[in-house]
Amino acid sequence: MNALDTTTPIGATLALLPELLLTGWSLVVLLVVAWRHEGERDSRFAGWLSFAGILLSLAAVLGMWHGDWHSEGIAHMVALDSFRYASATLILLLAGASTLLSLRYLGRQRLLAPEYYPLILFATIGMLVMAAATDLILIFLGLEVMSVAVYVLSGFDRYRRSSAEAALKYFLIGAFASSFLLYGIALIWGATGQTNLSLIAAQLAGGAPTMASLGLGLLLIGFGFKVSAVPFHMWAPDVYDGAPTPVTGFMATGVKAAAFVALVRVLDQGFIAQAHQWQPVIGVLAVATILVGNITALAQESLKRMLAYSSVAHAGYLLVAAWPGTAFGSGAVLFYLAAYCVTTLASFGILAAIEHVGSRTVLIDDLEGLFSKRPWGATSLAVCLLSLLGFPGTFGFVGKWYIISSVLREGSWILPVAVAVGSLISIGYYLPVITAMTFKPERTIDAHRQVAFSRAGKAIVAMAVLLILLFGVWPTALLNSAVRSARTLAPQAVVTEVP
Amino acid sequence: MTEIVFYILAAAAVVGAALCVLQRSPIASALWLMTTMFSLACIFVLLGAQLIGILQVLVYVGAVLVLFLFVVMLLNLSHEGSDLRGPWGVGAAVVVIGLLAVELFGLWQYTPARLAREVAQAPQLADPRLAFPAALSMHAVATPNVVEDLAAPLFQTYLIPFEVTSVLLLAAAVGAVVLAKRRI
Repeated sequence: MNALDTTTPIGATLALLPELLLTGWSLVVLLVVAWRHEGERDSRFAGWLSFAGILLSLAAVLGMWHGDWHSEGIAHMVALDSFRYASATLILLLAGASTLLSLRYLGRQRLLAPEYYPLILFATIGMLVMAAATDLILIFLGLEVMSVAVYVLSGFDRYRRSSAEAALKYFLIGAFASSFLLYGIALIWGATGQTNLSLIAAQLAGGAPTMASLGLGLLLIGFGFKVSAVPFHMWAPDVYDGAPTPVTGFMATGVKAAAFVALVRVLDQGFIAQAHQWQPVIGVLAVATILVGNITALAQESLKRMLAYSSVAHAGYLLVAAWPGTAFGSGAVLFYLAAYCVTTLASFGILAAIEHVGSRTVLIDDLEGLFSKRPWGATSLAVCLLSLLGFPGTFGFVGKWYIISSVLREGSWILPVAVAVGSLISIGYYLPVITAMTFKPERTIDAHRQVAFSRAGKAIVAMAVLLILLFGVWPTALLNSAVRSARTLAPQAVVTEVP
Repeated sequence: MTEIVFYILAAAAVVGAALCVLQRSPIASALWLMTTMFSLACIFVLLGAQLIGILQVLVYVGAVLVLFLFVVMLLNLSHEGSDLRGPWGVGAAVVVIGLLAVELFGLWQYTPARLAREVAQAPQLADPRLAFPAALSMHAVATPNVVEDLAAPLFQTYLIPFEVTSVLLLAAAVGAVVLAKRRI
């Protein structure tokens, strides 16, 4: 039991240990990169160095979680609870896996500027800050650190038009979304005089003035852009399609995970008394996102665009999990995030290995006969797609089942029906990929000759597939841990008298 | 005496702003903008807000304007006739001036007495010092002074956001170089 007072300098430093370690390490990597930036070898060295930093930060998070570090009184700026530790663990694992998946891809596509890896580290720092923040100002700053780094990463392939277009589009829409978020924060501050979530909850316990409700609405719009919820999803397919594939994987998983954990913390810790106001909004967004995402995905011919729309649809399922505002609902958000992120990152990792040098798109027809040439790669992709679909016996199925049960517990039946209908529609675009890979013959003799997994990439994909199958049949431990973590989210009691 | 100084500075600010808009050359415009910023800084000092005056010089004259000049020089802007002089441009200018006039009128109506009345009627907010007992001692240290009033929240209550901002700026600087440099 370690109680920290986050208002003291030592307490704040210890509470931010994982973030500080990663920031210091990213500066070292930046310096190393300034000296060694010649060829593929230096790029790979920077990648492995960054991976070591991520492991170091992960060790700090796990140590804090294991030691049960918690805050004394109200958490000032930084939360010390298992919800933060669980989300930080997920984010760091995603960042580490993305780093390893990038190693070979960057060499193949001649994207040799090693500044790529410090930018991944900066984005990860932003995500960690978002997962930890209990203050609206800090949530906003974390979001900006993450976004700025990811804008640049999505435009990293500067000589390809689509990549530059993706970066510009993402930057403009992202700035637009940030302004909504900031204006919402300003209105909430105007109504309550606070930016700390627990203090806001104390201030609004008796009911929210119109200004606070308006601010919450703008906040939801800002988050809606970041998690690509319909109708704020228009940027997502183009940006996911244009960015380098490992970056797309990182964006579709890490950015979404960080935005969702911050959203859940804001709703559950700051505005739980206003649940009747935000629940209808979240519900409508969720149903629209599930339907539009799944139906549009049906029409896609490129595998990358199909996965992009599927990630929009999955944001809908996650919104359904955020709807109840209970420990079970928020536990379902954590659990489904883990399922979705592991699966999606592995899919994009496989896609990165299949992509030809310099070519832009992999059509679903291009996968024909992949199974006969690369049986392990094809099987892994099939397992990932089945998990995204929610096939029984996979991680994704348990996640969806758990979302539905946590919503049913609160007495809603529309949202579970929407989840079920969405999953049924998604059969229409996941299954054709699997049949193309297995049942159809390859088109030309030298098809799939360029498919190349790196050793690290193989290891990451294999581990993800094992996790998908393991948690598909034995989810109990992870489920319990997710619910226990979500329980720590309740607003903290506020002292209103002089001690 | 103060009033005379104020009017001289205010006139310099207005003339600088007008010339900034009227000049054809972007460099001359930027230099006139600097005159305006300097005059505003002096007016802040006259108001007793020395710190804001100095920050005005440091941030606007020092950083922002030098950045302007760099961008102008790097982009090699030529002196071209502006395309804002048509009927649409005039119409837009009239609308903007009208809005500014309404705003000025509103501000003119807003007397100190009215402000005091509104502050008295506003609901009482929870004091963060009560929520964070340890922070109480930190607040007690601060004495009434412009710089310390600004520094105490910045480096005590909001220290963590302040530091995260520096990471944000670093990430933005690295990103700008990566995207803009032809060969890294």
